[in-house]
Amino acid sequence: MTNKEFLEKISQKTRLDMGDVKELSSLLIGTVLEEIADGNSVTIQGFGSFEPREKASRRIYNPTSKTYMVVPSKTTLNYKMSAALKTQLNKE
Amino acid sequence: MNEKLSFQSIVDALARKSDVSKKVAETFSKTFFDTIVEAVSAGEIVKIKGLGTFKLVEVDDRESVNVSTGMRFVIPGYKKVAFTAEDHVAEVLNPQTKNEEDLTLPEDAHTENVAVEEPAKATEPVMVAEPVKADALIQVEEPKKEEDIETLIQVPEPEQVETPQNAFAGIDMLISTPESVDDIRQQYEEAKAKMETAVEEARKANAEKVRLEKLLERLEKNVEPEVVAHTESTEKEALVETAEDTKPVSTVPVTLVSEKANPSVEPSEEEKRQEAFNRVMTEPSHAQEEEPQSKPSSNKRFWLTALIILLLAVLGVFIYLIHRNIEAVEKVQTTEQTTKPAKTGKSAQSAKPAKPTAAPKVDKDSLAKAQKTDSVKVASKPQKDASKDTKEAAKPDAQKPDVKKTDASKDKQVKPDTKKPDTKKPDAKKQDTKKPDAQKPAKEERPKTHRMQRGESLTRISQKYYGTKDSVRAILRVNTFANPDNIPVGAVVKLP
Repeated sequence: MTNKEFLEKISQKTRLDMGDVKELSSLLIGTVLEEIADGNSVTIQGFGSFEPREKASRRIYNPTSKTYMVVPSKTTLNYKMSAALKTQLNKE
Repeated sequence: MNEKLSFQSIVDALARKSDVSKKVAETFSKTFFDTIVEAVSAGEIVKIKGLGTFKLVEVDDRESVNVSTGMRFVIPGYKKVAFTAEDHVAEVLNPQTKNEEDLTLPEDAHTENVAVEEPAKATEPVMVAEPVKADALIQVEEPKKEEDIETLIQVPEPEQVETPQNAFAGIDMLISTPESVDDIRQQYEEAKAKMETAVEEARKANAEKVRLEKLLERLEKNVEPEVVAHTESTEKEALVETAEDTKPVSTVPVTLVSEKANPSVEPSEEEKRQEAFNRVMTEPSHAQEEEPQSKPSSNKRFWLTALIILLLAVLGVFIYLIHRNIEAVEKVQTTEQTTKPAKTGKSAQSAKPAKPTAAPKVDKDSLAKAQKTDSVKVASKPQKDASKDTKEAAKPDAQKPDVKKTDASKDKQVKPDTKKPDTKKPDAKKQDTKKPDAQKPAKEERPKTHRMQRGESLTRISQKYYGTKDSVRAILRVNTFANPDNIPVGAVVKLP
């Protein structure tokens, strides 16, 4: 399902027009990411939780150039589905 | 920071940002996530712009162990929603690093490179220096000289293809035109027979020479006024040896060299010869059959060598007789024994360096004739060994092991040569050649230790010394490494 299909589906369900859905969608994602960037985790009931994960800096070795480089530490977005969703997916 | 935000707070934030009511925001958000769940449940892959991709992933059954009871049990497989964040997310989450990345990463990388590479560079000179050191050592010991040449040869490898032909051409020019095959064969047989007798004679001569040299030493020790004359005579002997060992072709340059007592004078010439020799050794059968012109020439050479060896034998006897006389005279003067041991050493040394040049040359020349001449070379080589031994140790029994050595050295000579084409490294080559030269008394024995080079592994060492990779364990048994997978360069590995 592409982004467009996804938004169209929301549009149908909420009876909002596509422009609004697009705007709201990006705003929602922006809000979530903002919070994640602040170091907060966002839990959505029945769906799952988004939380930031700190990745430590590490040294990598390039075998071709035979040099070491440092990959700086970074934060990634981690999603974990909720227990409810898990049972829902695996109930059959 | 580190707050756990609920769905509601997100909806509130969304409502604040947009101009929609909280209610609309909530329904929208709910629908948003519900739709994702729906689609993912249906097995679809949902791509949401600005966030990432959700998809359904099946997790297989897996076995685990109950920690408290130790019982094994199976965790049943299940389906889960997997999420892969978009690249955009990483940019949002790492704003500073995103900007700094371009600046800091290369910088960091650079400093890291320097820090890491410096030790590597430090080790490299060691690698380079090692062969040099070895060379320096080699010059002291006579037969190892060959290594020098080989290491030199390694560098201009591409030349190897051309030079042998030149060398052959030279040989052909020196010796007459090709004859019929039968003639050649006959000559070869004759030469072979002659060679064998010559070898015998050479051995005898060798024995005599050993005795002679012993006498010489005694003379030099004993007779002070005669010292100069005798050192000269030793040098003469060295000359004789070189003259004997090297065929007429090479006699002149070699004698010159021996007079100067400088083995490193004519490396270029030697290189060429050595190359030719290598070439021939690697494909001896070709040399015999492929090139009919070289066959008669080699036959001629047999004759020449045989003659020379005969001459040597006569010379040896001659010198022996002379010195016998001298000894008789000098027995009267035995009281003066104390003075000149040092000088003897010197003279012996001065004579010695002359030989190294001769040694490889002989090998080359004789080998250029293809293995046929092996026996000759073998015969002449031990002679030098013997003379060396006696000079150093002055043992009369040195001749006995010598005779045995003829076989041993023969084997050895074949061995390193066959290896040569495989081993590209000069170091590896050095190891190979060291075997026959440095370890003459213990024949066929491999070196007891090995110095690790850059890029070498135990497996490689095993392959090199034992011909199989399976000996790694044997090597590990006699060695203790902190980490067998990462042995530092220059570490000495004992070889079982």
